[in-house]
Amino acid sequence: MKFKRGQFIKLSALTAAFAIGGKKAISLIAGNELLADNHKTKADPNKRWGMAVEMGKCKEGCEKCIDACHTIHNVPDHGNPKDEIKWIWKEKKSKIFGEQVHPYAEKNADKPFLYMCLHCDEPPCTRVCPVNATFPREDGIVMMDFHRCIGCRFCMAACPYGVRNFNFKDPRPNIENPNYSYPSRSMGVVEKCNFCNERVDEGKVPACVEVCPEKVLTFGDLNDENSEIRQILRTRETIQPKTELGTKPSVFYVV
Amino acid sequence: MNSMIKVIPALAVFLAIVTIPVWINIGAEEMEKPELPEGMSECIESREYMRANHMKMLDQWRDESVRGSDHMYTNSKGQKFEKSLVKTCMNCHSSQEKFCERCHESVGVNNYCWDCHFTPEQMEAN
Repeated sequence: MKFKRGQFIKLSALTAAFAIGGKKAISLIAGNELLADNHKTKADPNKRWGMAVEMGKCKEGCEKCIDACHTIHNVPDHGNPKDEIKWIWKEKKSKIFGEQVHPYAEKNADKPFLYMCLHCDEPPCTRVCPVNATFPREDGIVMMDFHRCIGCRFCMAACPYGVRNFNFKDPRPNIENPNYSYPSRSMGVVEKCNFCNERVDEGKVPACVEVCPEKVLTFGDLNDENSEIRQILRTRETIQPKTELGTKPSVFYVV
Repeated sequence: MNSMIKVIPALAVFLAIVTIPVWINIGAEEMEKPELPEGMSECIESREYMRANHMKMLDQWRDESVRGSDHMYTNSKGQKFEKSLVKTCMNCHSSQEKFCERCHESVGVNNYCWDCHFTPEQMEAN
């Protein structure tokens, strides 16, 4: 097929016009823009929720916080590490703090630390999500919209902390005592700790914080100078994992 | 005229295929109507509105509550309801099988709400 100069120019002009006006034309035809990203949020933008973890107070063998979280959020127990789903768990100190733990720490390097989503202020996971299923809330919670997740697992690759889990299996059969007022997930969806967004919206603290008998966990607003958590951060020595990445986690470990 | 010998049977076959749904459903039982809550005349909005727009409303509720932390719906009469499928809708429409499914099944709508949300039936069974 032979292209004439005039035809070529016409076709280029048409392509350019479509490229410029195409999106507008589509929205004219389709009517509405993506509602989900445009409506206003009621999460308070002046707040930034955070948590302080005082492992010194944590009793060995106590897993009340983990049980509480996993029960109310219908986290399944598949019974094998390959399919494991967890929102909060005890992780070896050396795994969380990596290079900060030297070989002379010996057994101390294995000390269990409570670990969960750190709700970064600059979360890498939300940047890579192609469908906006995970997104930073105005109040600092890194949220998962399970409805939207397509299971691409980009977020899992992006998260430097490894706190995200993928549902390789249908979780339903392995939920021991379902909490019927909270949904489960379906196969092919990524999940993680959401800082108990459903409780925070009601003005409560996360379930793990509430059930801890030793007050290991302190939840509060990092933007409020007078909050309990700011008091701890002001007076105590705290560390955070992998701060050099610029993720600015909202979870602090008191040492 | 010779070609009509082929055209007419072909046309007959075509018509038979196109009208298959009619033949299959001849004598079939009438669709079971969804069971509405007793003693209630209206849903959170008018019946007509809910029939036409319940799916849009649920979609909007989902986005507003999960993504916008906005959990309260104010209806056209000013009454407030929590934007929750399980806590609000299914509180009156107490059966997923007899309410949701009856329509959805016959119109071939396959929704996956209940992959994650628990149905009233599942709650009752435990």
